[in-house]
Amino acid sequence: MIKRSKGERIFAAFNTVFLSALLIVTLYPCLYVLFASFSDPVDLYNGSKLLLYPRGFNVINYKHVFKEALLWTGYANTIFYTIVGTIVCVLLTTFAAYGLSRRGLPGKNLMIMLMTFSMYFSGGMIPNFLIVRNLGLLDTRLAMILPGAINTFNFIIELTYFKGMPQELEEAAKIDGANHFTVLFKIMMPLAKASIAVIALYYAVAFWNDYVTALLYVNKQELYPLQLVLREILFQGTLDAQAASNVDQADAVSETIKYATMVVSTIPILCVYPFIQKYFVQGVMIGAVKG
Amino acid sequence: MTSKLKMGKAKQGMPVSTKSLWKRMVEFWEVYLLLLPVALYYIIFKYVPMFGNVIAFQDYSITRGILQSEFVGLKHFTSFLNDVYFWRLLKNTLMINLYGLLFAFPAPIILALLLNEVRCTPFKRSVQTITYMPHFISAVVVCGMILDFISPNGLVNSVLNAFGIESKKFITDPQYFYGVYTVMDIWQGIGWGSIIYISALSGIDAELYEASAIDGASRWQQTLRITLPCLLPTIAICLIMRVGQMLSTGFEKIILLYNPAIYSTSDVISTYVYRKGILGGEYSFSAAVGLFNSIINFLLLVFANWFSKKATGSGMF
Amino acid sequence: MAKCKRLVSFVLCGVMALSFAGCDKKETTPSSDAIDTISVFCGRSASLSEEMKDYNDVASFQKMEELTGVKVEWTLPPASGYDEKFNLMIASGNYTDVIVSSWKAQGAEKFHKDGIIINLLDYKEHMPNFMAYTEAHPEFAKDYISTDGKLLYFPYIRENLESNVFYGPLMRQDWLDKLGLEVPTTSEELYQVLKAFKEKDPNGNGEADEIPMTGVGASGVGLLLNMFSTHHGFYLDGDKVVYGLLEDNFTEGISYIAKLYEEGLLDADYVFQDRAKQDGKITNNKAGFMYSYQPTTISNAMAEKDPNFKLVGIPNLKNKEGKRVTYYSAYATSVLPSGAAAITTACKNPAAAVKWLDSFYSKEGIEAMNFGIEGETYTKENGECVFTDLVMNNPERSVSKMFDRTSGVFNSYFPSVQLWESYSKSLSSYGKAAIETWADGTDISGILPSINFTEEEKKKVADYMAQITTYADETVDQIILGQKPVSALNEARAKIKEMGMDEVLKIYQAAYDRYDKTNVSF
Repeated sequence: MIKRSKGERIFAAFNTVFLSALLIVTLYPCLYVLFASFSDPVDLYNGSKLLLYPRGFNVINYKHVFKEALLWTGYANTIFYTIVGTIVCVLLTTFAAYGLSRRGLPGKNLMIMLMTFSMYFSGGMIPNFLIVRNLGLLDTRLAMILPGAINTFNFIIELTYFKGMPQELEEAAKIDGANHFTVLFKIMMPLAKASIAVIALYYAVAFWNDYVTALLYVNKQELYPLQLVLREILFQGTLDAQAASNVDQADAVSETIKYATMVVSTIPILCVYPFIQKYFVQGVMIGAVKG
Repeated sequence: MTSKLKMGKAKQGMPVSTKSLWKRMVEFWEVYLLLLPVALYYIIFKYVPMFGNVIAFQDYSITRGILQSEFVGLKHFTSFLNDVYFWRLLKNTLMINLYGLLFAFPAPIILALLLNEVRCTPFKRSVQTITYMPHFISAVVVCGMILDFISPNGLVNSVLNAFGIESKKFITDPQYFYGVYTVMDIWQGIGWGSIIYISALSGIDAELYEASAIDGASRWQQTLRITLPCLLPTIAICLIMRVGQMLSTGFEKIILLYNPAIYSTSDVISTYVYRKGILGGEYSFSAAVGLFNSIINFLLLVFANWFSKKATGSGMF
Repeated sequence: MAKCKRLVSFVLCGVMALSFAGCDKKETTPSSDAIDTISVFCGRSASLSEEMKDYNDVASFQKMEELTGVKVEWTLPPASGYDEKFNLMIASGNYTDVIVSSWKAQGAEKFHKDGIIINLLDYKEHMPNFMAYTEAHPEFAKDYISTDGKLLYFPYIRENLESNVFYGPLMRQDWLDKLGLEVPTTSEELYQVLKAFKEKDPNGNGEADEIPMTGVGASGVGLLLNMFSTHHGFYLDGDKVVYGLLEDNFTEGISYIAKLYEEGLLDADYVFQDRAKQDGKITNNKAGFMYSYQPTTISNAMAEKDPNFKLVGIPNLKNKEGKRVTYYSAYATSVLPSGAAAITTACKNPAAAVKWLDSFYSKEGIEAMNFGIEGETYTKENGECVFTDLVMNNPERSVSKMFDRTSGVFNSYFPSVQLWESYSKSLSSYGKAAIETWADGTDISGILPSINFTEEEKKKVADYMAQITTYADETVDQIILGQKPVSALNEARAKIKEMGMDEVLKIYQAAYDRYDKTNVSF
């Protein structure tokens, strides 16, 4: 490694300080949610929301959340939707990105244009529902996955990446007699790992957080994803329709339970990122090895 | 059969342009096969439901459906354009997005570049992982915390007071809203937004750095000459997409952050339509406003794409 | 080519689906009057989400099944997605037999005209209990009979005034005692008390950190306006519908609130804080006065923490004429806007469905819906229903949790009659006392009842009011916060008239007159 100049060292010091500050600032809200989830509901709002440790430590909030009958089926369903959905979405998006990044493909730009267009002019809830119903997908697991199978934004991200890959690779493979399927699966996909990892993360997070699809297309509780199950807890006491009700929902669900709910529902997906990070570094490694 | 085709194609090679369209299409049959499910998906789940936009030109009634509802032409569009608050809503929507474009858009890029300079991998990974976490905290919590920090007796004002600066009315004085919203946006989105750039950075060939280091380039020069140009296509695409959202706003966050006293800067198109909806507004009005936004957004996107192609050579289509 | 055909047929099927949505009505076939199951679409109460699957797990509905022999198949959309599910059901044309919704707000007449719900009066002879109830309580009928004399849904009724009076002024009695002050009854006395709270350190921590009054939003602190015989929004002045901001009293009322704010007697956070934060200030000895819900939750939570803590409901404050007027609409909402059950045209046997719904208004039905199962959740002593220890002293669950499992009128919004006799049992002694205090001598004659607009009127009102409320809310908050002088009201009055306020008032007046003249005899 080449020795760093004085300016670079000053920059490195400044950089470390700055990033550490950012680290603290972004860590705080996460700690806040965690602390609040272990707090006593009455002590939580001591005038200010600033929280540096759990106020009146207890685990009653978690007991409440874990009592939820549908919690575990919700977890299982969400994991299923996330894994299967992400695989389907990544494959389809990669097909689209690979196909539409081929030079000289007739109709290429028209199709990209039409795909982008559809991002803006969706038909709304009711037409989408009728399509899903007419395809016989209501109350099936497929209804959770198919309607959102390609996200145009993610497609464009991957398209950009594929466009930037050296064309010679493909040509060399073609001369060796490879067809497009071989080129895609054996050459391009391994090389595009970093980009595929990003869109996989985007899809996984979207599936993990999705409750709207289930709300619209699924009636059977045994198919409910975690977020829909837990949203009921978060939603208690804020129902407009119950505004005229004399039953005080504040009692049923305290703020602290809501925080416990958030912790329970987000911890697993947070753990995905460190695994994805691996691919970001690997890209650099390949380059280095080649060099 | 397939092997023959393959062989034939490999032999033919370039140039492409002299061949007839049909021949070229046949040549790409495998690619079209890959694209078939994609096309089907878009037709079934995107284009067929698109007919639902018709209700923007109707007095749509849920009990009558699309066929029986009465057509009213551009009534809802004109009613929106003639609303006393139309220009204010448009201005606020655009201003919030402009702030986003100027500050919230570059923030993740800067973070990615700074992270790229960090040598200590554990530190780098911790910063990456932790800055990305606020993305998962619900808007209610994030906005609640922001409000608490900037409230009259909150943390920010206490700090200001400690430096001898008078307390500021961040929440009730209209002049601060764009700033408050943008800060929150950055706070919550910087780490999440940087992922795409971090991934793009990892795709840069390390050879390039080594070669330039041998030429005696400093880190700063390397950043300017290698890193940024390599990031440019990604930045350009993200920027185009961002420009294509100039008329959309994070509705939920604004609802949570604003109050009537600062409507003059915080009331945006979506919040106004929402309030009107509560009063008994109809589907058709919100559909018309949505369509209006989409058209403008799409035109902006097409324009940004055209511009980017001219300026940087890369664009979406 | 086959591919192409398939595409075309996909497209066509989509278009057809869209086109025929909404006209997919089913024929009704009258048959014998016995049914054994009935499908019901109803909001999923939040309290169900843990442990209970559907309302069949609630004692009341078990008892009702026993009484009527009818099994219910519940379709319970998640509470957070009720509207979406409702709209999708209507749009797709697959209705359940019975739909529980906020029918008045949905526009029941439109749904009837377009052939989705039936006029229940066509089956008058099958609803003896409901007819008897209506006769015995004609005061509620205006609210649920449509202006052209139809009955389109069975309503949820809160029979006693006390059940409606669950919101009002709450004060820290222990602070008053400490400072040797009397409960304030007028605006001037209230001002003095708040001033004392600020200056005399009632929380005893040696710092002047008290926030004398707290609240949530302009509407929350807006109940102070009642002392000046006015209110935010629409109310009645005799038989005339008026809009608060346009009235002279409003100037005085807003000046009062602005003064409280200026002198630091009103929480500076009122514009943006939520209820949890407001309550936190009360329970943590920071704030002494607020308008809020009856204090059962707070007093239960504080009972162990601080035995000296006393948050009590004080009588609604008097106006200049010495009347305890209030314009809080719930006070006059005996017929709930939500929890109304209509029978759809998809119902195979409407007569039997009517008969079933009617049983919820019989003496046994009301008792079951309020108290659950006799001998299990309640017993009768001298003709009065008394909850058993299973409900009131359950070692595992709080009273409110047990109410959720016991009483249909509390967690389901399924139409029946809610009685104070049972509601009061869910309250703490502070909660019950507060409600009794608020109900005593309160004057609710100025509250605008829930009037019905026609489609046309509704659209017009929404068009005008979107602009007007934006302008009004903005101005009112700016005046309270001291950003604008009180005289800005004059400008605001001119401005909202320009925005069409006169037209809106005309529509309101016409709707109220129609409401007033509704013929309640069937």
